[in-house]
Amino acid sequence: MDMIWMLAALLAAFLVGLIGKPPKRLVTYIEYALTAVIYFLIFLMGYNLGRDDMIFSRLPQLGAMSLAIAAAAVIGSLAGVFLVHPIVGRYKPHNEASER
Amino acid sequence: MNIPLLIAVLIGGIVAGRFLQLPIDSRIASEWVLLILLVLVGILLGADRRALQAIFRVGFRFLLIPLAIAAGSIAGAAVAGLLGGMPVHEAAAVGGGFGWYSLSSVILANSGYPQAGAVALMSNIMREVIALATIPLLARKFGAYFALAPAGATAMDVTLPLIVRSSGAAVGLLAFASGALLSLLVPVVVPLLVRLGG
Repeated sequence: MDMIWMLAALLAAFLVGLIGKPPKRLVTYIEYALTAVIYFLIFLMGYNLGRDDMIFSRLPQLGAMSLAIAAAAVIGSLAGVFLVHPIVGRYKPHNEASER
Repeated sequence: MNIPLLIAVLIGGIVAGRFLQLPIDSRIASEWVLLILLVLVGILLGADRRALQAIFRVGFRFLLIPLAIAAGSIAGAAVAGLLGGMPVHEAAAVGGGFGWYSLSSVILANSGYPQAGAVALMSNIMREVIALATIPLLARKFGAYFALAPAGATAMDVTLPLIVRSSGAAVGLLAFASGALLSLLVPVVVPLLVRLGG
């Protein structure tokens, strides 16, 4: 399936949620459905990993790579915040603080 | 999401894959299930008006913070991929999970990148653990904006209580807005980045 259709489906669903204002009970059902779908996909992911001897045997290296990416992503995001925080300026929570 | 249950389901899947032959064409099945997943995620993100309200209330200039977190995460992950010998577009897509391990991993695994999917799952769980470990120190030494960086998409749920405890209640709205914007970006940037490699 073309990725364009996936993104179009995502955008359409976002607009449906935004404009359709689904009632709270329906949102709860959708959350349950999403959790079930995610677990099913995680199971499928495991199933495909288990069948794929190449990936299965490389799991230790993939774990090390995962840690490197996690650390690098955190460092990169901190660098990003460091670069833009002078432009954003200090957050002055005057209004929010007095409202609570 | 419940991490122990999730790992149990994953291990169950791996065991099933090693020893069983399920009567499904998992590649075709997963493409349709992925489509359903994106529709459900889209509806939920659209229906959650708190996210948009938070973004409007904190002001548009603040959006530079989550955008910088997004760019920095992707760039950092790409560098790690380059140095570690992983295809750069796959590593960048893993970084584009911003800590939302379940969504980023299933998108990658079901887009034909099972190895990147496995890395996205492990890497983004690790990011969440790093966030939980570093947020108090970052908040104290450098301020609230820096506490939002490791949290990524999880700033709207899992790490929100810790951010509020470390930086004060007033930061809660910022954390929610940042996490919500990054969550919205995950289903867009992960598939886009991984396709950059062709």
